[in-house]
Amino acid sequence: MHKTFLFLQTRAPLEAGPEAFDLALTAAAFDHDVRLVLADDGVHWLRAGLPELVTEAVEQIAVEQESLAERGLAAPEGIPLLARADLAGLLAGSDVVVTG
Amino acid sequence: MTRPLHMIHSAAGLDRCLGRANADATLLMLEDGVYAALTSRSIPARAIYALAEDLAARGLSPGDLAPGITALDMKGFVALTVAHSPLIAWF
Repeated sequence: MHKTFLFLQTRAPLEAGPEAFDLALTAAAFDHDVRLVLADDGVHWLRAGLPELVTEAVEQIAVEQESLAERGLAAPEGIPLLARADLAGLLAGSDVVVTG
Repeated sequence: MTRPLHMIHSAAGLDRCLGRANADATLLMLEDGVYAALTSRSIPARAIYALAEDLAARGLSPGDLAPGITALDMKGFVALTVAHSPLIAWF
């Protein structure tokens, strides 16, 4: 059955292992609808860049704008911003949510 | 559409969850998250539970819970997971 997966990465590189991304890639390989949101310290993934495999396989990637602002980071180019208030609806509308 | 169940596994997990859950959300504090259920804190939610077994494992009891938070046994936890979707774990 086709499902909507939301992966919420809230941890910085090294703190977070690649497990959440492995899961996202697997879900994408099975043609599920896969979204990735970077929030909290997860926004630091933008510094080194997300793994190329992930950006190729996951079409919908967004970054939470409050998390950027709290860390004094500028909005990245080419990645949509998401308001924290809109995340609740996105979470509720997903079939599977994986937080990392 | 069913509503999500937010499972709070730590005090830090509660911080991650707050602001990202709807005001009609159901929250369950478990593992070290039960420590966050001891102090009154304004949490917008439809219902807040704390897992009784995890309270007991830490030498705590349902009487230690902040007002508005209800102790829940394992059977109740299972019932919550059946009644809600998606299940969201905050570590």
